[in-house]
Amino acid sequence: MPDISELNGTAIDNVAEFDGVAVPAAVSAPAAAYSVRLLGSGVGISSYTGPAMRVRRDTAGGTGDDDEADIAFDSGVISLDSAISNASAGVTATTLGEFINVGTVGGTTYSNPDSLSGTASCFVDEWKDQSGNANDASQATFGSQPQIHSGTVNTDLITENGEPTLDFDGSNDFFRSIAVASATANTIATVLKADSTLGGLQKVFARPNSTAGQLRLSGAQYSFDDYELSPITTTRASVTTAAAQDLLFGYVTNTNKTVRLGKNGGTFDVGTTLTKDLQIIGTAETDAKLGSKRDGSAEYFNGNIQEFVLWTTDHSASRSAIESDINGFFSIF
Amino acid sequence: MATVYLPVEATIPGMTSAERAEAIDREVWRLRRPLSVQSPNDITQFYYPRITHPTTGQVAIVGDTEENVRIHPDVDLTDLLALLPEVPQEEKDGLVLYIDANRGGTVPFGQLIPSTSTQLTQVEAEALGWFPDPIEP
Repeated sequence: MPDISELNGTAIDNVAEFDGVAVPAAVSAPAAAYSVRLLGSGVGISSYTGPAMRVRRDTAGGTGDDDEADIAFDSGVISLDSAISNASAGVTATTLGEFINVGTVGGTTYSNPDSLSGTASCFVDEWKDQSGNANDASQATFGSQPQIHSGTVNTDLITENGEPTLDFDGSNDFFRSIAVASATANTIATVLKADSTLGGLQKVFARPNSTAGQLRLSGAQYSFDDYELSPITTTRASVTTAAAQDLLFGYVTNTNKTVRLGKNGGTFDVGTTLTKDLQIIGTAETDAKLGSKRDGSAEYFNGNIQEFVLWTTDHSASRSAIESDINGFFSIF
Repeated sequence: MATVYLPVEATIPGMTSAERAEAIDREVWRLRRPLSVQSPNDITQFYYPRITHPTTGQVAIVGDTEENVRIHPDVDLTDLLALLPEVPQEEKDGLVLYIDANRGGTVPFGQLIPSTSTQLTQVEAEALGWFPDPIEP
């Protein structure tokens, strides 16, 4: 059966119900999308063919130290079999497993074409944006780069619930350079796990222009918030975590003048309803952070992040479809 | 770990504090990975984080005096020394000798900080207003 774009003259995107059955709203393209898996239409991405991330290997001063390479998806997710490309001069490895001289993992023995003296640890210096907006999250300071391999021989990538993840150390790791367009709404979906619920204030996502407008963790509570000016007043929605792998879905709209945050398909918590324009409007920001406060100087997230997707629209109507797509891969709840 | 805040003065004509701090930080990274071995596609360019003073706009490098910085055998100090015009020549010569003696090895970052540089502890930096954001509830 061919695809159809309209039904009785009504665009399919505008059809809310057919024969009494609710039709999920189409998921439109995100503003930025980062994941260890290859994202697709389930989060609004039509086709992404680029690499997953750029990584740096650390050989403790030995051969090949600090060389970098892009790594591709391998059957839809990064793995030690991921092909590498665009590597530093002198690199002859063809897979991530060879690039870090990992040894034998899962019955596969990876050769050591670059003659490393041991297994390299591996860090991410650029998490590629799959949205098509070239909104790559980067970290040019070597000590602030999240990690994907520990450097232990015969050991797989760092994983969470069986899938690879980026480990943020809580000391100084974060990404920057994420641009957020001016909008009347934001929606976020992320898969993450805090290392502990005992820490102080940490930021998962922070916008550069204010201490508000962010996804944060404090103790055992994730919060998503936004704000109005004169004076600055925050609206905040919160959910608790047991430092387990969580799927968070949050959105904020200027129509409702409030934020909502839900965890693992559960009921939304709703923030205070404000009265003035929320500062998602007219605040195009070019250096939002993933994993730290707004200026990258503190409040670092201690845990791991596997996926973070940001829309500059209200996608609450697509929550079920988006969560189904994400949970279908990560099996969180 | 011994964190040190190193405010960078805009003492080089044509360079702001931010530009000079970035250039120095880039040269510290090149102690470990000199330009001669870098790839044009390298993302990693800096050794330490930097912070900006909220009112003066001055930038400070946030270093660790106890961290052992790897010194690449092919290290070239020319550009780093050019960024430190206020450092006495005698001290620069000493730095060159020290780095040359440790090519392929490591040196504590604290040994690389010029005598002319202001060094602030966390408490001192806080008192001077480097961290303005209020603690949120």
